[in-house]
Amino acid sequence: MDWWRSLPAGGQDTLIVVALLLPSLIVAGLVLSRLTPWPLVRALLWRFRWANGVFVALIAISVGMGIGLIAQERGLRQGTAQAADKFDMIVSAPGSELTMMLAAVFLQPSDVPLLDGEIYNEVTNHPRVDVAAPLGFGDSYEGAPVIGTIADFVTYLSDDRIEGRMWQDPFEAIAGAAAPVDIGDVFVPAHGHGASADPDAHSDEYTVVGRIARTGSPWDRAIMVPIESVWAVHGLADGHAPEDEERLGPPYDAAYFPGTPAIVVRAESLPATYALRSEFSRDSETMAFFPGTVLSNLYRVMGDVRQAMSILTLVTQMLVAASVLLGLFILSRLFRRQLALLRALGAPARFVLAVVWSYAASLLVTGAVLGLALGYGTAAVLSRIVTQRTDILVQASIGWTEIHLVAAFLSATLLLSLIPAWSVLRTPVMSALRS
Amino acid sequence: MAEGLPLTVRDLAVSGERGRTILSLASLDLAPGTALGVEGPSGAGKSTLIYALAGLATRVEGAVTWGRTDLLSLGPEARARFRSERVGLIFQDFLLFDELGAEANAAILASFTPRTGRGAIRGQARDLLDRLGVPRAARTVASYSGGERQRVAVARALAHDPMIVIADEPTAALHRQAADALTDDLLTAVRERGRTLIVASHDERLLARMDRRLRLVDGALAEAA
Repeated sequence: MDWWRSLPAGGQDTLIVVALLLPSLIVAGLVLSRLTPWPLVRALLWRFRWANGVFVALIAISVGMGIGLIAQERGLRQGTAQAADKFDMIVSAPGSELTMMLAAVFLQPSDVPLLDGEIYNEVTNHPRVDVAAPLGFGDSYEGAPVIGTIADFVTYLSDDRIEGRMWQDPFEAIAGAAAPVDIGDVFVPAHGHGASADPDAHSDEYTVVGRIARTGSPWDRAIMVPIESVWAVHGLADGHAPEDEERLGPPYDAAYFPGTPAIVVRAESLPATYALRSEFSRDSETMAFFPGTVLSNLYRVMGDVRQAMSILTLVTQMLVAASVLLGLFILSRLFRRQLALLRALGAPARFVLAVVWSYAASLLVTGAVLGLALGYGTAAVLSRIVTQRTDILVQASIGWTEIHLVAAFLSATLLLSLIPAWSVLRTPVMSALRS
Repeated sequence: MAEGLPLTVRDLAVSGERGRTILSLASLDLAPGTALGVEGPSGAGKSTLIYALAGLATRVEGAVTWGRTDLLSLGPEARARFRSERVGLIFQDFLLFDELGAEANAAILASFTPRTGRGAIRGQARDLLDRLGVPRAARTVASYSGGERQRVAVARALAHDPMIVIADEPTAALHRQAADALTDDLLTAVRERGRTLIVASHDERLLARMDRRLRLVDGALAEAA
């Protein structure tokens, strides 16, 4: 057991695949040794190419669907986790963590109470806080959210990968990688989001001066602007005292701070993050939470769904295995005369077994490999759609779970296909020859 | 060179699926190198007899002895080995693998016989195809004429140099001219090596060239010709 744990993860997974396939490999060795059934197998494959093709397609589709679903689910999980990666901790007014996370990380804002300037300053001036970004939601441009924040957050979010330059004026903007504006574009944001957005509510123009690299999160579609301008556009104070009107970014004067629904906090270290969470978790005043934890709670709830899905996949695979078996019985009927001929000519039973089994194995292996490819393709297409719709970068990949599933399916069906092969041997040669 | 095998049949009885006796033959002795024609109306048991002599019949009693081998006392695997070493079989409708070429069909035994003999089988198959005038083109036998196909089948039956050749209506699917040509080829191949030939047939021209004839009616010997 210690030996097993000492293996690298890839080593364990590879060994599992080998262990799953080992029984079939042993059978293959026993059935095929010293025989050359391949020319005949090729002949049979070609003779019944249409039936074989349909058979392979059925296996490929059913394996592909199962694989695709599992791969997609994992991709979605990794994608959402990746999207939340930059959001170590969020401080907001007490309420639903899920709602706040959806608003701040996934830019699905809803009406939430605001935090005032005193709290913001307390967070931002905390010695263990690196970045504390206020967020200002509410406007959009051509469906892309226009979000007010501070320059430090844009730098942090993009890891300083900014094409063009940072804003220097309240009405300059930085575009996300997938935002519908380019450097140099001038736009007027609409008030609100989606169909209810009012394009004529504002008249102030923004100029896009920079564009950040792809983050794999919904922030890629966002247009980021100085939060001062968002407040100003909505007729609010801009966070700074009149004598400090020219200032852009913190520190803010609590008296002129209109409020923020959420503060994205980056602490100096992981222990600091935990310390800050307890410090800013205050009944009826503030709530502090880790989006990563909210997501894993969500995954845990969805874990049951995943389990149900896995069982469904397994049941489907078993049904497919059963129909594969039935199909092989029917297919082997198609060439019982050729097989009877071989026995009449003096072929040992093992040779006939080898022909039928190799034939079945060719169909099963082809189907399973195509299924793996199809599953990857399905997951890739679904991922692209999800990425397009949500801007959460979901990447399809075939993981060990899928490979193990396919290996188990393949091994089980390969062993089961000995049954139809064996049943062929039980037909009397003479009656088969004359049929 | 392999020795010819004398055939001895004693009290052979083959029953059908419902237990009814469909063939009975009290006694038959055949010297090595004899060509035996089995004739009789359809359903008389001609095929049953020759398959029984090849060790292919089920529900069979009595003794079929080739040389020192009591075929019916052997299990299916040993009988198969006996056929793959000693017996060449030819069928009415050729039973070739249509997707394979002439050579691959003629040398099909090389796919399951011991490795050491495979080269000899392939070489013999090629020689036979050449001698029988079958084109050894790369194309599959599906495009061959009936006569050519049956000659491929003859080459297959002889490629492992068996001393026993058993043929079930070998000319029935061929037109007259091709049937006569095949009869010539088959008899030449059999005679030159002193092989025993047993043919079930309706074809009078083929039967006329046999050394002995055996007539079956309703599963029993009618007369020896």
